[in-house]
Amino acid sequence: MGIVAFTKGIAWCMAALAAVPAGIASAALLVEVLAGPARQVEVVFAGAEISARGGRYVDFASPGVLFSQVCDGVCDQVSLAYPDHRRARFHSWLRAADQTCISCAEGEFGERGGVRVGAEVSGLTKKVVQ
Amino acid sequence: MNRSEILGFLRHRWGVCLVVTSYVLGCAYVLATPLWAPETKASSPPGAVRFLGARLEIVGKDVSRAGGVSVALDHELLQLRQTCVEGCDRIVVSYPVSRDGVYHLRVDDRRGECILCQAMYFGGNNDDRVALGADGRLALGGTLVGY
Repeated sequence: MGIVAFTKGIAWCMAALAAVPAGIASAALLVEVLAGPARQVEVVFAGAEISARGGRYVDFASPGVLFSQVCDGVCDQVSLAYPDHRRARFHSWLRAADQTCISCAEGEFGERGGVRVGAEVSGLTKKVVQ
Repeated sequence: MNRSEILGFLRHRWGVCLVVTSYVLGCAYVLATPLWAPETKASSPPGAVRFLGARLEIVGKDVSRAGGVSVALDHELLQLRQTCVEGCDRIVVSYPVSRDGVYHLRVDDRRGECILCQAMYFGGNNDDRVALGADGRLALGGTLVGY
């Protein structure tokens, strides 16, 4: 009886040990499903349009990339392409020389994965302007 | 179900409870990870671009002095294109890297000729810079952080 109980105890402990990675794997899978599939996204910073609005500092932050641009005269046209999730949130800040926010927004990549940062941020599924 | 019934259930089904608790802890670990992972703050831009594993700074003034008008970065995880309008802008970009590799950087002049074409090895945490070197020529300088 003692040996049976001991063996059962060991078996339950082994099962409990195995349950930890199983929990990690299933939660990671759930997070992956909720985040949407990873795919290539493209962010275009329309330099001329940003300058026309008086922009001098451009910043962009997402889980896949952090980007900062300081314009010298008319802002350069810059594009970034990198893998990210459909529902990954990103933030963009377009600021004037005195650091005041001209267009600061957060959003999610749209179905096509292309975002254009200019006078406005376009190509999103969700946008919050601050 | 009163307290004694709950305690009786736990006593008889302790193995199941142990397995379920372990599973829940595993799930909680993954779900709670974003809580302590660094996240971007909507209210303040990343003034000094944080280090995600690889960082490249393009010193726009130096690129312009060298006659460059466009910059192209090609890496498995990031492609960047910069087209200078007047003087080239200063750009800092940071992105996560998961394994060793090589990225290619190309700076072209107004005629479309390459004034800096270089491949850079990724062996760890790179912190690289495109700027004028001591010899007055545009160069890609790199440091491996954490080695």
